[in-house]
Amino acid sequence: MTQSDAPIFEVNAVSQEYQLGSSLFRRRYLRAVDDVSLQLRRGEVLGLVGESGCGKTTLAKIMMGLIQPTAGEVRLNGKRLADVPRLEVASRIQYVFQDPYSALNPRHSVGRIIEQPLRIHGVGAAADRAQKARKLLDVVGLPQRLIDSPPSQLSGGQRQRVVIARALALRPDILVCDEPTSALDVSVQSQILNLLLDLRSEFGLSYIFVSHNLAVVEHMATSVAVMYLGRIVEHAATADIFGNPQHPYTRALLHSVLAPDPGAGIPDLGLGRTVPNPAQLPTGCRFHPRCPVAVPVCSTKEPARGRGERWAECHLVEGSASAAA
Amino acid sequence: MSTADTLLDVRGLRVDIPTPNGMLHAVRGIDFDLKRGETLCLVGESGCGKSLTAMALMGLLPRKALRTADRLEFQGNDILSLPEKAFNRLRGNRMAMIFQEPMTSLNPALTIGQQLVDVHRQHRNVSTKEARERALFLFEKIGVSAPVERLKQYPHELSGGLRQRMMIAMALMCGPQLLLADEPTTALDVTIQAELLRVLRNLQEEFGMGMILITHDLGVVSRMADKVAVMYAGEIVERGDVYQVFNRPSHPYTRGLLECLPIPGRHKHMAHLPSIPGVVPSLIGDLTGCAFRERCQYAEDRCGEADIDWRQLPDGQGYQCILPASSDGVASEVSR
Ligand SMILES: Nc1ncnc2c1ncn2[C@@H]1O[C@H](COP(=O)(O)OP(=O)(O)OP(=O)(O)O)[C@@H](O)[C@H]1O
Ligand SMILES: Nc1ncnc2c1ncn2[C@@H]1O[C@H](COP(=O)(O)OP(=O)(O)OP(=O)(O)O)[C@@H](O)[C@H]1O
Ligand code: SF4
Ligand code: SF4
Ligand SMILES: [Mg+2]
Ligand SMILES: [Mg+2]
Repeated sequence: MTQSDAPIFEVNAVSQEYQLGSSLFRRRYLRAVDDVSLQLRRGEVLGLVGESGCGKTTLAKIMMGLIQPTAGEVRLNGKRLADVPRLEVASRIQYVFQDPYSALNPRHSVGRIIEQPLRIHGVGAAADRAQKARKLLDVVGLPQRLIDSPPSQLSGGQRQRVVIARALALRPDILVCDEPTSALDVSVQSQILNLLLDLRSEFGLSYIFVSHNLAVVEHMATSVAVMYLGRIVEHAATADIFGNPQHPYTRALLHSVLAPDPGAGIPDLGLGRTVPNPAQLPTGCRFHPRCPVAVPVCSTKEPARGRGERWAECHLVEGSASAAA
Repeated sequence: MSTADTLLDVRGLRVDIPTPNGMLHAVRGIDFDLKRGETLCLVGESGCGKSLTAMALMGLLPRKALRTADRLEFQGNDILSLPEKAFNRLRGNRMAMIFQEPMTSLNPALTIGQQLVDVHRQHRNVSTKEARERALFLFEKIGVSAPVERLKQYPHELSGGLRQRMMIAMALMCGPQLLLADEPTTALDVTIQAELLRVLRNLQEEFGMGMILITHDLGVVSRMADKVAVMYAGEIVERGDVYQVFNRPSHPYTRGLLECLPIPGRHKHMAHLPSIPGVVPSLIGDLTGCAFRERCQYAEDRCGEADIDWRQLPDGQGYQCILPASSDGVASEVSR
């Protein structure tokens, strides 16, 4: 798999603010995504990891055009997502939902579900669509006999295969997978991961792979973005993130990976009890209330914003834009 | 063996659910026990009966489901024959459950604060103010930001992770002796998961709370469990202390599960991971022989002919398979 240089997908300075109940005197906003820029190249698998509520799903939805960001833009092959016709967007980028149980209409058959994107966008005649659905069953490794079954007769792994088959119907280049295996068993998880890896090498797919499972991200991703309270605080190639993490938050994350090791206990990550509140961003470095190595400047000055291929937004990181400044 | 320390003693627990296609035998005669302060982890494939096992203990099964058992004792008291009213006094009080799906135990129409206060006042003679203080104390323990504000929020206003924490707070409001935690950290990111698991551990030590922890995550199991029961298709197929099950798995299903985990250094980047082919059998009607045989690489004819005997090893580990117990050699290959 070669990765060509021009990004097929870009997120440029995107922010998303949600309004939290307004009172007569003041409106309160929650900045779920804060000035995020990312790029995806063909064949790349960008792992997106981070805390619950840090904005992963919001960012994934912005990427899909499901949410209009309050600032910034998304570009697909150089064109603003907002200017690209819906069919073209759908045939380039598709979403694989976190939960295979609620993602499927219980009243429709597997075949109907898989061909739904084709029907919505008026692609092909009915017979072609049925034919295509049968092919897609093969692609994702589902037996043909399931084509008329309702989702209720399928196992979780089979349902996630249906979700993936449906996402593939319009032959997209990019799949945004939001926790694609977190609802599945480990025995089935590896089947789905193997399927995603096969689809990548067969069809040259690229993925944005959102997951809280770092072991899975390490296995699947070519590069990793670590998100904290709406920002990508570290970005690097997978081997660098896991072999030589720079940001203190990334280090804590890696420390929290619980590989099977009976009796090893649950590590103390040194993050304390302060829990991040996206509605009230800390001053300075947004990680400072939890950071085990914070220095005085951290609570007053925000580290310089990262850009390029590799960055860590931390005052202590040598060579980071802020250390150089 | 029942001792004074025994919190829970379960023999031959079955859950059967009538369906249009026949009787679904979801839990097919399982045995386990739990002592004060001990953690038993239930692991196994989706649909193998873990949640129904927990719900059967809580008396919260789906309406049509039938619960039977040879013995079902909580702190030495038979709960099979306990009248509904007496059981209601236990539930949410001395035994509490954290549900897999947060929305099933949170009422969308009430604020978090109202729900936490209600559950506490239902079982304890406390004022609203005291109940609120208890809630804030638990919020602090489990790490909830902006705690006072949270009390005024509705469940739908919270992220998945926060909802999960609210459920944990709800279950802990009355300081239960037995906590049934069904995938309590699955929706959470790893740093919060680690912190919450430590909290559960500490609360357990502090109050001698026994815990049945249901989780898919074998990493979590290995670090939290004193004892492990591996379920497959409604049965316990392997059981033992955590070291036995992880270092010397004897049932092919247990071994398969451990091999499936992506572990850096063991699996090449982006290479295929081992998996267990096939799917679990239907639980409707009788199952003869080993339920795992369609997926088992060691299956022989006799695996399908008669029910498989339980093999009890002298050190307490046991499993349900015709194969001899695995040697330590096989084990170390699997776990590293
Ligand atoms: N429609 C909304 N209105 C107000 N706030 C919202 C809305 N959707 C999300 N939020 C808030 O924005 C933040 C980011 O949410 P998001 O769902 O993107 O996080 P996440 O990283 O996907 O979290 P999780 O891991 O829990 O799924 C959270 O604090 C959440 O409460
Ligand atoms: N209300 C119900 N009616 C009919 N069948 C049910 C019902 N609830 C559960 N079942 C079936 O009983 C079996 C055991 O379900 P249970 O929820 O205990 O599984 P589980 O081990 O908790 O799975 P998971 O890991 O997916 O949560 C499954 O096959 C399920 O489909
Ligand atoms: S800038 Fe300071 S507080 Fe932020 S991560 Fe670096 S050391 Fe920690
Ligand atoms: S009893 Fe037979 S089929 Fe079942 S796990 Fe053992 S060897 Fe495999
Ligand atoms: Mg999310
Ligand atoms: Mg369950």
